[in-house]
Amino acid sequence: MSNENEMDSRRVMMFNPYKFWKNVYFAGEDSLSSITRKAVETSSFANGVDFILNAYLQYLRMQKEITTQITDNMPFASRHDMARVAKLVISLENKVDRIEDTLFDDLEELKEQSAALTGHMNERKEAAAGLDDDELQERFDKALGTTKELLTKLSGIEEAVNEVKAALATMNAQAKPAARKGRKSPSQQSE
Amino acid sequence: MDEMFQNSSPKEMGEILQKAQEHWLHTTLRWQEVLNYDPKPATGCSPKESIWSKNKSQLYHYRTTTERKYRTPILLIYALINKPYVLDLTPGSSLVEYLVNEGFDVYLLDWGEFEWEDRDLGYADLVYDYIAPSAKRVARFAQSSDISIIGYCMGGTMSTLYAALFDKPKLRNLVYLAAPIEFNKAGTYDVWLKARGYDPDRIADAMELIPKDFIDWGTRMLNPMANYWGTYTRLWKTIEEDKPIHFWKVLNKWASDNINFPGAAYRDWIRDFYQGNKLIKNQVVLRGRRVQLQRIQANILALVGLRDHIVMPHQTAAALTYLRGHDKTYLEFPVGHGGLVLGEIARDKVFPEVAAWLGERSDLWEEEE
Repeated sequence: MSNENEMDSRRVMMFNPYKFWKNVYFAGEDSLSSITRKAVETSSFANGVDFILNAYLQYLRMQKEITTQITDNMPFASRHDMARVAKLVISLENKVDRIEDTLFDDLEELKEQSAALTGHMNERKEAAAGLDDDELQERFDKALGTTKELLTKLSGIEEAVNEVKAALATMNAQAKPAARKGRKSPSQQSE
Repeated sequence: MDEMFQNSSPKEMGEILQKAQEHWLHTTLRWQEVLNYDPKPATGCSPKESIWSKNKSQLYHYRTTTERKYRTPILLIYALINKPYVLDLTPGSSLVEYLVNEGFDVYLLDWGEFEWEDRDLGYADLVYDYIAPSAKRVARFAQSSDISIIGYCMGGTMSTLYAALFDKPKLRNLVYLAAPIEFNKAGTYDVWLKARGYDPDRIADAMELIPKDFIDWGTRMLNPMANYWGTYTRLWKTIEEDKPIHFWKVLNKWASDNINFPGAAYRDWIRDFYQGNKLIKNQVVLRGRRVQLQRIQANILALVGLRDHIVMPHQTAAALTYLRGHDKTYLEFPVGHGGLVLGEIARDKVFPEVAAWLGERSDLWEEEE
């Protein structure tokens, strides 16, 4: 019993294989990592990869030619056909985008011009009011009315464009699922 | 050495070894559980709304709960490799979140996932049809006549193309995060992409839409041991040392989340930029217009990682030489390519530097209200 207690209390330097393995492994991994990094930086590695890559590209071309020949004669849409439809939708989207952009710029310009014109006419109106000339007053009111009509029309155009845009977006949404067959869902894409 | 050899009694040592064995077993089980069963963590968590979309791309505006301090909006432009949520990876490690909290009005152009119908998209299309309209909409939405752009990696190169070609809205500040402008001495890519047998035309012709696996392979092979094996042993070590694994999970999610690369853009990228180094020579022509770097008068902030093996520091530093603006700043950090937007140094040093630099060069919101 006393011997056992003696053994328990005797302290010696002992080897921990777990910690040894962990330290040695991670130090080794770092060295291996720098060795492989140097190896891939050589031109012989690059040439070797290019050789394999070019062989693969040749195979890919051959495979593409064969599948194109097959799908051209099949009674269903190929990947190219679907991509073509998708491209049409995208180009339509592009057009709408440009129209919207141009219209916005034009509207901005018109608004600025109208504001300047209204300001100018208000000044004239105030000046004319001093003259107490009913006819002159009437003319100014008419001109102001025309400007207001112009602004109302512009708002109408803006609304019409928004409607066209909404309709195109609906078309777009209907056309895209067909073209995007086998693709991830929009929620996955947006992530 | 102290850890490997322990001064203990045989009984204590027996207990230590038994505990170590149990701990390792538990670590390994948890490790395989994380790799196989753990759900993917949430990323890109900052609240946002889409204010414009085209094809698969979205222009996001980040909502803020804090007071807006600056009128000049920031547009983030990301690369065509992997996904842009690395800029808003996870709360507490997000460039977007940091800038929003600092009072900036932040926008991000997300390219979406390119598919077969996008295989013919080249840099001209991406700049003219996506970046330029985005910049215009950002300025319009923010009611500002000028904007700032932060371009990360290839996104910085594309921002340069835009900046050289478009005058409106005025580009006030251009921030490069590890963005290549000069393509000479581009490290490992220099060896690979300029090898005699490497022909981007042949690749683009054969593949048309460059598969995401091909792009991923090219990036991972820059440091194969670390990327294919070290990533997983690092996870094991993190679990073994009882450290949090959330950051590993979000980073691994992003690193594995690749997108296809349009063939036409790939052709442009390798042939004109890496092989031809045409950008600094003013030889890039997009839709008939020459990209002249001297036309860019924006203030420049170039941030580089000293351990970056994807974009060498001198590749970004070239912006200071070739761009015309008078206000140019260059900052180096002891990190790799991702370290400028990920990790402690990014959070504690890079983000504050970017915010402070932009803050000094942006209009205040209150001033014009």
